[in-house]
Amino acid sequence: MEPLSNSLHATTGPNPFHEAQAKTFGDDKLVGEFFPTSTYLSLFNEQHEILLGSRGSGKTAILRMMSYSCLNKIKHPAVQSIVQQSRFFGFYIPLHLEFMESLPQDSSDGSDSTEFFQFAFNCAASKAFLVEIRTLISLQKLTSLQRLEKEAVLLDHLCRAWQLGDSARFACLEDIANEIEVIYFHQSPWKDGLFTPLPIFAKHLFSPILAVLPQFCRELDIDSSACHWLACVDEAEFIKPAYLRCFNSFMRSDKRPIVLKLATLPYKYTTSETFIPGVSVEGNGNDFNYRSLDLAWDSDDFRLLVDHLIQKRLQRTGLFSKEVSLEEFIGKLGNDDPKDYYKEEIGEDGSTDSKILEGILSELSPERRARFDRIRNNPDRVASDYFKKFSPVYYLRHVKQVSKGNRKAGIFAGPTIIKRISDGNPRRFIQVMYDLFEKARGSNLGWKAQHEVIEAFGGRECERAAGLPDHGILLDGILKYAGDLLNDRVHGPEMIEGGVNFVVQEALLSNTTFRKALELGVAYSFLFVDQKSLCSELTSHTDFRLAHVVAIKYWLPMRSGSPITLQSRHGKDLIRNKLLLNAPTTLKECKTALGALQLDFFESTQTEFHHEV
Amino acid sequence: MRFEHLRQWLLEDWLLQCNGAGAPCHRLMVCASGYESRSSHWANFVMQRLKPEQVCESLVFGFTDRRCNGSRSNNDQIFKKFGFDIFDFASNEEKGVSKKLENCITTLVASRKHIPMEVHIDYSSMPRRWYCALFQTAHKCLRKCDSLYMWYSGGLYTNEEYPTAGISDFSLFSGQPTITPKVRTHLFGLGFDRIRASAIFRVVDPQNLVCFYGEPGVKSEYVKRVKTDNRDILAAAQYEFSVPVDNFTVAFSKIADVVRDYAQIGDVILVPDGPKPLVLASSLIPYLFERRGIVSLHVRQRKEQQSSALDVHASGSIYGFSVAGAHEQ
Repeated sequence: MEPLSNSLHATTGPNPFHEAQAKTFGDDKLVGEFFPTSTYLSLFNEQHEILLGSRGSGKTAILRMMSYSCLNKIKHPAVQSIVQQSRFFGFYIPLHLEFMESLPQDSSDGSDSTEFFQFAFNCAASKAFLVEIRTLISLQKLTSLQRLEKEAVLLDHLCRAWQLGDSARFACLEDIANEIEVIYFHQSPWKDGLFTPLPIFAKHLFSPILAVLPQFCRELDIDSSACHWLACVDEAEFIKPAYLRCFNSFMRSDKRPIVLKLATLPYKYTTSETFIPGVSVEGNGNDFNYRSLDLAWDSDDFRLLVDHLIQKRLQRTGLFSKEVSLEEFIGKLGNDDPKDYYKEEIGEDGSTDSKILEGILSELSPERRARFDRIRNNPDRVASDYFKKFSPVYYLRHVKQVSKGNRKAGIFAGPTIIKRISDGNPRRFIQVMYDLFEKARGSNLGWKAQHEVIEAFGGRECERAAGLPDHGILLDGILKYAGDLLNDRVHGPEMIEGGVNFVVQEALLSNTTFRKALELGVAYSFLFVDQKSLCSELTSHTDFRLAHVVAIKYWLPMRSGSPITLQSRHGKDLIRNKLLLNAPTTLKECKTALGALQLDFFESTQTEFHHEV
Repeated sequence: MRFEHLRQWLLEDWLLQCNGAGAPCHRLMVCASGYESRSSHWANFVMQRLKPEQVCESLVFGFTDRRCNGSRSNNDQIFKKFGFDIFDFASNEEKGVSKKLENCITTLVASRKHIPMEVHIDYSSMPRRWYCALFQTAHKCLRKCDSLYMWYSGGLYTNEEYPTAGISDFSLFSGQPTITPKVRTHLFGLGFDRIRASAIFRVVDPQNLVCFYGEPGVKSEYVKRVKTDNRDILAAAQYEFSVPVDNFTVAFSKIADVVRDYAQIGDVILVPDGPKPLVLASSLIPYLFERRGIVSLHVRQRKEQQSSALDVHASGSIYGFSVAGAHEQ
């Protein structure tokens, strides 16, 4: 069947994949495009959770859609069931960079202004809470007069609990929200301990909300003993460590029915300390849980999300009368396996199983070929030890070899590759779709055209690593180093079982600068690690994987490959204490610093280098 | 805050007017001495052309960082030749330089109460922490009858790399954000710092992005370079516009117009970068509006970690603007 992208020829309307961020959307637009994944649905629980998600993983969309005013608009049956149970009421609190930077900056870590932080945060939380209360009132079957009366009662409660004076000053809840702004902006910052008695907004986190919840639940016919109020805090990566202690103290003290859902980038929740010296907040369900919001590229959630996004975005163009899936839009070859695209490149005659095996054997080392002779009569061993293991590497090697000069390759193509290079990241998926859509306006999106777009996209994404904050330049250097080294392994004279996974030598991880660069790579989806390492720390057991966009740039097979370790040739003491003490800030500095480290990949069975060079 | 009598100047025009004027004026020249040869370009130009009777007080801030680099010693010699005293401060000591300037202005104003005063600041080679703070201080201390002049010489830049930035480098320079804005628009000023701009973009992760850059540049190819270096950011922008680097008043009002439009739908966050006049204009805009929801974020330069100090040479005309002081007295 002809891919539907062919119908885009010469269309001039806006590219529906231009917007890649939930933040730009209004509530209704976001609701229309939102797909409730199983991860999203599972967040409606009674556990405090720190939600870890890389940039573009959909943290903002998820948290905004957990707010009751958005939740209520989602037509999905599972979501409607949550609404009907009336057990969870979310309110969304974004902590923007400029808001956090507007807090007093006297001590760089914020340790002497936690009271003022609590004041600022409670102002923001209370405003967000009132938005949802207004929604709850509007959803009640009340006449206009009854609604006004209800609001008047709530205003009265608020004015008493929050010491706002005569409730007659306020006509509606929105007036109270505006009053909170006024209170916040008229309050000069103070240092901890210098303001007594503390105003209600400066007491512990959520205290103003907790002060009115019982009356509000009663007035709104909500069973307060069975419901939970989900405080969805977004962009927590901008919160200073001292302020994180406020959240830890809250989670430790268990102020139900408020449940904290705090989203941040991986490795940015940097302390477990509470206000009480020596008392830390504990994970693993004791006080809270870490949860990853990143989706696996091959998960059902991501597959459904991708198709949902495609349907909604293409619908906007007005060019398609029916709901279109990624496969229908882009087309696919055979079963969408690498072998199908290889066959298309090389031709039927050159891509029979026997020809492929012959090709594999011709590129292996003499030792491996000798081993093959011993098992050649065992078809299962041939299939598992040679064909399955080496064919993905062989396809890439062979296509790269024959694609030199003017011949264009067409192996990075098809829906599976598009999902793979997105790596479960909705923003990256939308960005690559933007490029494919643009290409489809000018020509058919054949396999070679897709390959061209995807390869260019991979190259551009990799270039962006250097522009990441703080350790971006070092990360860029590490990715280039690793990419080149892995490329040498895969495309070297003798074919080996190459891939994109590796572990990192303990000595290298003990170098703080190097480790932070790797953490940055994880936070921005240039590197992927196992769940345990994502939620705790990077160790010598962490299973690292290069992002598939990086694999595209270096023509690497998107598979694990044989186990290898990234190592420096220097000893641990030198690596930890004398090399790479600061993050390089220019590309030139980075090249020198990484050169001094003398990195290389070694088969994991080999012993680490311990001698000084 | 009102910026009264905002006026654009070419240095030559000002010199003509100054040398032709008969009325006495109390004048303070403020410069910086650093590793850029541009540091002393304005002072050299002015001192060679200003009539001897017009010459006045001076204040030169020398950088304690990188004292032995580039043209620093030559600059010091030039300033000393004109009898300018040099006071050293670290490039991150904006409070120190501001206090020094404040004391100087207060003393001078007190000594000749009935004579109008002019403060001239050459900010061509100052870090933004200094020149934004110095403008604020001088504007606040000077009376309505006084004038503050800000002078800028464009510079010739090589293809040198610029250092990156991180979350810890951000600071709120002016304005106050609202607590939970429904919509946020980021106005990015773009320059040559490709890696830094990209880092800022990744940290801020803007919702509604508007970009601006200087046009015309000191050299025609500079505009092309800005567009090429920042193509990813420009591609993400809803709207882009250019402003003249050599005309502060036009640049200021053009940026202010865009801010006014977007402020109607939510918060506006200015993240200035690029040529200094545009950084200064963007930093002052929150003062112009004096309302919540318009802020200017500064991103600290990591010059202390840069391996080489880039000796920027002055190029083209020297231009600036003047504004009346804000002090009611």
